[in-house]
Formats: sequence, C-alpha cells, structure tokens
Amino acid sequence: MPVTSDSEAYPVAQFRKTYFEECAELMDALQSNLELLANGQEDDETLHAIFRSVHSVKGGAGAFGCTDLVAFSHTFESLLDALRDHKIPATHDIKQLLLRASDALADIVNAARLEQQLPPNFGGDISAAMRDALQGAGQSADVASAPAVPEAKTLTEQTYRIRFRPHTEMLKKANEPLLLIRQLGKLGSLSTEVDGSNLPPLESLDPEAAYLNWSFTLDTAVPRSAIQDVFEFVEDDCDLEIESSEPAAPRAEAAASDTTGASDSTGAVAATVAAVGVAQSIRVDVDKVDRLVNLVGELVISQAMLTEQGLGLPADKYPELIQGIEALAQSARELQESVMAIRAQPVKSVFARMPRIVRELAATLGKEVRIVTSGEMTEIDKTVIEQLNDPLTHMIRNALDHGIEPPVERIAAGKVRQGTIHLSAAQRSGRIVIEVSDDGRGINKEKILAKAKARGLVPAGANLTDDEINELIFLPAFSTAEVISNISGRGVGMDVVKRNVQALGGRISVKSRFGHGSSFTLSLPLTLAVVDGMVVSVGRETFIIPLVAIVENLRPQTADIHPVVGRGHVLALRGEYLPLVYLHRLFSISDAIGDPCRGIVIIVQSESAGRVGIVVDELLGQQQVVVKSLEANYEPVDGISGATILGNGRVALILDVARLHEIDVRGTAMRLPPPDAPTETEKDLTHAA
Amino acid sequence: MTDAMMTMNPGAADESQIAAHPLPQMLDLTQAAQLRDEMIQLANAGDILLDASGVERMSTPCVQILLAAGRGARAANRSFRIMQASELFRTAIADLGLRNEFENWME
Repeated sequence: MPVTSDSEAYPVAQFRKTYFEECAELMDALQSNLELLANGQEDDETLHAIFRSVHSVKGGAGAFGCTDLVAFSHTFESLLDALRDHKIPATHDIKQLLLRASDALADIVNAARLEQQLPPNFGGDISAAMRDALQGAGQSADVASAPAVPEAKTLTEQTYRIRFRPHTEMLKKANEPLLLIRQLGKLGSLSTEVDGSNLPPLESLDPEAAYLNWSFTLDTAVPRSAIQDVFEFVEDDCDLEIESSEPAAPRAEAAASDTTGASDSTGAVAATVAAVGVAQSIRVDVDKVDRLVNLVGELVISQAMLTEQGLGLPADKYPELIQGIEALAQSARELQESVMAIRAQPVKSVFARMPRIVRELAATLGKEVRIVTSGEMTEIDKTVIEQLNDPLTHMIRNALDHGIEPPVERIAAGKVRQGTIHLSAAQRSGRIVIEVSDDGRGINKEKILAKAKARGLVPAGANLTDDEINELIFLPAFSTAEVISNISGRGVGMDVVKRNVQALGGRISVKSRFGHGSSFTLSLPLTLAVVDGMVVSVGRETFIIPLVAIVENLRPQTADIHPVVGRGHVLALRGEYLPLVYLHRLFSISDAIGDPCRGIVIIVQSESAGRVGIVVDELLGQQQVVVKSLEANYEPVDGISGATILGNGRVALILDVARLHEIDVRGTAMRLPPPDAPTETEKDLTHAA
Repeated sequence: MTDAMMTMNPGAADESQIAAHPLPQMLDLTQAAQLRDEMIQLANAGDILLDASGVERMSTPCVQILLAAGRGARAANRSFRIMQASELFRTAIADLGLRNEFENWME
C-alpha cells in the first residue's frame, strides 16, 4: 500500500519510478500483442495478454493517484474484458479502436510519468467509442438467449480461497488491511470471514499490533498473480495462502466449450506456476551496468598493458607468468563479451514504436499501410539502440511518404489496396543489419538522374549504374517529392539518415525496382563501446582511425601530389583528386614526417567530407579499442571523437574523420603541446584509468 | 475530549443516563493509542455509548480497539452501543468482515 508519510517519501518515489519502468514494458507488450491481434491472431492467450497489460497499468496507477490514467484504463480494460469473454467480436473496427486506445494510453502514461497536464478531455472520444462498443455488446447480450452470457463468464472464473494472517508488526508499518481487502474486492466477488480469536482484552491490547486474521473466498476471472499483486507490499509482513479450487460454476457446455475451458485452466495453471516460480530476471539500474562495462574496459586495458610487458620477457625464464598473462587475456575477453551481453537489449524496444508512427502517418496521408516486423529479439548494445530510433523513424516515414502509393494508385497498378512495410533485424558477421522494405512505387531512376544532372550533381554525359543512381538519394538536400510535405521531403531527407548512421559507424544502402518497391539496408556495429581501429603514428603521437571509415592505404609518388593555392595539397588517385590532411600540421606535432611520399596516406570516406587522404608517419596495426568519452573525462575536442588507452599505457585519440578536412580548411585545429610533455587530456585520462 | 464528553446527543433519549462519547473524525493509526485509553476510561466508568456520526476515516487498529471494548463490555455485562454510525464507519466494519459482531452494538 502506498506510504504517504514524509519520512518515507523516498520509497514512494522509488515505487513510482519502478512502476513507470514497468509501464514502459507493459505498453511495449500491449503494442506487440495488439499488432498480433490486428494481424488476425485472435486466440485467448493473446486476448488475455492484452488484458493483463492494461490491467497492470491500471493497478499501479491507482496506487500513485493517477486518476486520468485509472479512468481511461478502466474503460479500456472493460472493453478488453468483454472481448476476451467473447461478448464482443474482434472486428476490424474494434481492433482499430483498441490500437487508438493503446496510443492514447501511452500518451496518458507518459504525461503521468512526467507529471504533465494533458489537454482537457484527452482521449475522451476514444473512451466514448469504447463505452459505445460496450453498450452495444450489453444490448446484444440481452437479446441473446439467457444462458449464453453467464456461461461464457463462468468458463474463465475461478474460486480462490485466500488466507491472510498479518504479522503483529504489520500495522505499525502503515499497512492497512482494510485497503487490501477493498482492493481484493475489486477483482471479483469477495466474501470475507474474520478470525478475531487472538484479540486480547482492552487493557493488554497493543493499539498498533495486528490481531485479526482473515479468510476470503474470491470468485474471479483474474489470474492468481493479480491476487498476489494486491499483497505485494505486505508479503514480508504477513502469511498468505492462495488456493484455487474448481471453477466457480460447473461447466455445462458441449465438447467445443470444454476445449475452451481446458485451455483456460491450463492458462491458469501456467500463470500460477509462473507466479510462484523463481524469478528468471532481475531489474538492475542501467547506471550500474554502465559502471561495470567501464570497469571491465579498464581491466581489458590493464590486461593489454600486461600482455605488452609480457612480450618482452624471455618465455623460457618465466613460463608460468607468461601462461598466466595469456589466461588472463582469455578471461578478460570473455568477461568483456559477457558484460556487453548484459547491456544488450532486443531491438524490439525501438521496433515497437514504429507501428504507431505508421498508423498515424498513414491516416494523415490517406494511405492504407500495415507494418510487419521480424527479428525483434535481435540484441544490440543499448548505446546503439538509443541512436537507432531517429534513423529508423525517418526511413519508415520516407517509405510511407515516398514509397507506398495511395490506394487508388495501387489498385490502378494492379496491387492490393493496402501497402506493406517490412521491418526486420538480424545479426550478420558481428554487425546488426536492419532492413526497411516496402512494396510501393520504388525509385524512379530516370527522374532521379534527370534531377541530379539538372542540379549539376552528376556530369551531363555520365553513365551511372542502377545502384549508383539509387545512391544519389543520399546526397544532401536531394528530394524528389513532388509535393513538399511536413512528413519528409523538405530536403532533410535520406542524407541526414546516412550521416547519422555513419556517425554510429554504420552503413546504409538501397535497392529498388521501379514499380515494385524499395529496400533500405542499415548495417550497424553491435556496440559503440569498442571500435575496430587502425593505430597510426604521427611523430611521437598515436591516433586511432576507425576501420569502418578507411577505404585504402598507400604511399604516393611525388608526381601524384599537387599543390593547390591556399588549400594545401591534393593527391591524384586514379583520375580523382583528393584533398590531403596533414595530421602533424592539424595538431602541431613537431617531429613528424612532412612528406606524404615518405609516410603513408590513408584514404578515408565520410558523408560530409567525401574522400580525403590523411597523411601519417606509419601504420602500427589494427586493434579493437575500448572507447573512452572525451566529453566525460575532459572536454569535447573538434576532430576527435573519443580516446582510448593503449597497451603501453599511453592515450591515443580516436579521429573524427568527417571533421578533419573541414578543420584543416578552416585552419582552426586544436594545437597539441610539444610531445615531450603529456597533454592535459592524456594526464586526465591516465589518472581516470 | 472534555468538551466532547459533555456533549449530550439529543437522539440518545433512551440512554439518558450516560453521555454519548463522540468518536473522532479520523480513526486512523495515529489515534489508536488515545482511543484505547479513552475506551479503558469509559469502560471503567460503566456502560459505553459512542457516537460514530462524525467518523470519516477508519483503520484496522481502531476497529480492533472498538471490538475489544465491545467484547469487554459484554463479558462484564455492561452495555456497549454505537449510535448514528456514519456510512463510512459501517462500510469499513462490513469490509473487514465484522458486520455480524458489530450489528449487536450498532443501532
């Protein structure tokens, strides 16, 4: 029961936080199950699962005084109850109403969580529609022959015998049996027997001790877990026994009904087993997991240092030490993978938001679209999940706005009225691949090419392959929408998606058949906490260049380097001229190799800067490095995306290749102090390590 | 409580020998100790007549005390009456499963 005294305000805040965390999960489950229902999965299990989600949201809301939430979810719950009792058929209209109610409920939950005020009578139209549907069912139930309704009800009802014996101290903790009993009464038909035999005479009575015990008989359709939930806050302060007996009324139905009854009782048993079983998962604060990930990162760095030191030891003199170092390396790697797995989450949390976007946008655009998802349980690191929402939303919107045609156009093209968007996720070669495909009109390559030529993005006589033409849609400010809508097509299009995806170390590509649809494929690293990098040296400094950005490495001939007045040098490479960025100039490193023909040029590619050659002294090797945030440990530095600590204990900065060329052109690079003295960043990070 | 003790309830004509003791508006956990002391005091004085018309909040601890007071009076062959119980009072007694036992004492 809610604790309201000031001294115990903290637990209430804690309970509230937990409630809203659970709400998010419940709403995700609700959304997924409603999608299943909408796609024709109308079995009892799905209907029960939908009901349970709304019921649990409502239950918690009452405890925290969220009256709007309770009122709305109550109507929602009543409609679902009628639906699972088959008093209302799951028609298309009802399913759509449930989806709208779920969207509204999500908004109300969100407003309650943020303690924001919603517009007056928010969701009132949906509540009214739900009440109308209920009322309609009531009328039809009256019209139907008398036994039909009660039988439908008794089939799912169970009688529970509940014994509740508060421990002597329970009342002192501000737990009130009266409120528990009333809560219990809301679950069904309740009869109460009290045992007051332990009550002492007035003179020896402790006014705050609990002396009464209760036995209840509850006829209800809710699962045992819902009864346990009532006693959730007092379970350590009382003895509680819940026994279920035979269904409340004998089932006098034919074989068909018996089958339904059997599956119901199986469900009840399963629910009981789940309720009394040992919890299979625990809830842990993300901060704690992040700390663990960071600590393991430090451990891996220390292990890399030890390994490097070990390499200098004669193997015959210290065989055990070297063996130990190797074993440590193995364990550290496994530990790191295990910890990263803890923080991994299914992409479901992001996918679950998409059906609503599709629904709302389809309504706005007057299109009929359904979304089919698969591979939602594919897991990726939460750092990536957090960044996935925006690009994915944009891609879905793009598919709806530009891909899927209006119903009339689709029918004219010989397609079904309703368009389909497939959203899938899968793990391939250590990356996650997300695909958004639609069966819309596809990319009109002629139109794209004509537009690109008109804008001078492609030379007039150029001969491009189909894939190259498709790639044009990723060019900045390239929009072919005939009507600029507020959904997409404001020139803030796929180029933004591509830039965001690349910022995550990902890639995006498109395949399309004109008239048949398009398919966008997004490939992302499984985590942002470690990165595969090329370790390079410039003078006495070491940098990391993310491998994903590197196209090739080469040592150019003097003849290939050409000066450009006021703009440094360009490298002529197979008929293309690439600007060169000298890292030693950019970061004022004094003892580096100045001539690219004696050093190495690394060709990197980024969306904003295109292909650029980075001049370094030497390639030291490839390595997977643990990313340390510069923002968190020092301050943001332009041209640097993060830092890492190498096996020799030195800090290496990870280059933000997309920014290097621009900084070089502006000449505003940060200047590093002479390499003899450790930099501020280095000192800070070494200390932090 | 002294003022309250002085209050005579006009509805209690047949109980004219004793004054109706008004129960406090809030019969919650914080009131339990005081209620017990008052009940002991009233029991020592003889028959008990309680006025529950103003009760707006009920709690199990206070119900336990009233139950003990009623049982104590019955054992001592004294009268124990609760008059004009508010709706909230009656509902709480019923919800706790004590209607049968309290019925003997309530009007």
